[in-house]
Amino acid sequence: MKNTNSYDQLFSIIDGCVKGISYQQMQHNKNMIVVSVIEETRFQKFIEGLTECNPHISLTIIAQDYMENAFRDTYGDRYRVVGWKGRYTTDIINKLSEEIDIASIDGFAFFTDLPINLRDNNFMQIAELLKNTGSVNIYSSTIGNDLYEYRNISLYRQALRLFVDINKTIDLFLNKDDQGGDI
Amino acid sequence: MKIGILSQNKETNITGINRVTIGLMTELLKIDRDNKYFFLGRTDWMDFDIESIPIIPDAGKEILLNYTLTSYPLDIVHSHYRPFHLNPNVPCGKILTIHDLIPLLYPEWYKSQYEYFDTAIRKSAEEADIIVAVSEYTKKDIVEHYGIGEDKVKVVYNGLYPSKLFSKDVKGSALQELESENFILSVSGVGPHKNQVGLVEAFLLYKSKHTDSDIKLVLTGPVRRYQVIRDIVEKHPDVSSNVILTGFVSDEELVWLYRKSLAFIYVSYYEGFGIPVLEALSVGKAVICSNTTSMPEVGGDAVAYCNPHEVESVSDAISRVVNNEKYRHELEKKAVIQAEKFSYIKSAEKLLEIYKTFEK
Repeated sequence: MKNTNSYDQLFSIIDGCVKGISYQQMQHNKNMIVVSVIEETRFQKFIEGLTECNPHISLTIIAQDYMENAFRDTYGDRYRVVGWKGRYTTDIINKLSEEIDIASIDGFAFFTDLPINLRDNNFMQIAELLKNTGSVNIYSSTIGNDLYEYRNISLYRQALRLFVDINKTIDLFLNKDDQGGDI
Repeated sequence: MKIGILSQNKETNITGINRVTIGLMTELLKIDRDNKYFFLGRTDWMDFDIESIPIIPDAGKEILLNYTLTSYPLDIVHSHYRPFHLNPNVPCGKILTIHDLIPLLYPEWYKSQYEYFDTAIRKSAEEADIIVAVSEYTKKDIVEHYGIGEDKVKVVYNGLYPSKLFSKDVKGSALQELESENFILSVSGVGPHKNQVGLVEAFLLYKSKHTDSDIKLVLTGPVRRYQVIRDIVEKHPDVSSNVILTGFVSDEELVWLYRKSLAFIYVSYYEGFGIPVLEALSVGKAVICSNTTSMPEVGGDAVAYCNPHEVESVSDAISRVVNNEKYRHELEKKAVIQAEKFSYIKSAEKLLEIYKTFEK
């Protein structure tokens, strides 16, 4: 293999920001925002795992508007369910702040295909905003399976941006060779 | 050659794409002693003695591999699912497997995924050297909707994940009530294209025409869609107890259901392959399935076909199989023979031939 040091080091930085955890390690959270998924069975398993270790936790469940009633039927007697239409952005925090005390939130959880990926930028933006309001732990679940905690959201996001930029630079460099000129 | 394999992340319950990867890799590693395989990304949970190369995936767009391949040069990258981008000037063969184009063809149902299929997967398909389609029908869709030349698209059929349908079965407590029942089984995931509503309507039509039949319909799978089905069933209170929704069942319980069922029914509007049809055939069950898209390739002449868009057609097919024991037994005899036409041994051999075309 060629020199893989710089690649491996960048990957290690990114990988180091995300740690696998268990439901027991989440039990200190008292008041969490959870973004739901339409895969109800898997979401149910997540809620069960969370509440088994922490039966008195307070949850605000965010659901897409077409699922709001279904989740309210299932969870509405115990937890707050809030509907949202479309992509989740930091605007959801503005909406929630009308109903709950955001400063009292100590955990934020969302679902993702993969624990590390470039796609969940919207959730990372929400996480950074929440981090600015106070001490908030950030978690993800890979569609009801493994659990992860994100430590150092800023470093994580910067490293991912660097990864994307390096890929684009390689494209430019190789395409420059194609065109026979200098960048 | 060094061949990098891209598949999906770890899953607690191994499903879908990962079953395909495990099936193919199991057989490829037996027959291919010349090439060296690497997993790209966190697929080291799969039980193979293969090194992993770390990557940063992007679930929403194509996976960027320029940096990865600059550090870890490979001769071929084969993605079993996710689209990827590699600069054309990086000396590496690019293979992308496409299982179906459902969101592209049904944007009204899958608008959140439409853009992904219309941009990321389309771009990766255009950049690929070879596209692997899991059926002739999927190949046709790729050629037609992505404008890809036929020569670039090769068909490699799916098979059966090795142990699933030969595992020990178990009848969980939730299934106790079915021990003494006659039932037809339907297994499917979430999605309007699965036509679970049409299936239930057809079954209720069958029951209304055959009031002396004791047959039940058992549906396994996710809960959400069931509210629509519950609403339909509630309009027919005299037969509502004949539609049983099990919800999520374990693999072992599923095998028990397959074996115990009188027949299997799968009337999806669209499939890229149709693995549930193959599963049911492999345990010697009479199968009722759609006469559309890829399903006739899997079913051959061993199934009872129907038009999934017509409730009467589905109801008639149920009647043919449930009420005619002789016909049902004929289908059962053909079932395993048809299933044996599909195996990961054959798929791996075909895939290896494709890999060899990249040898310098």
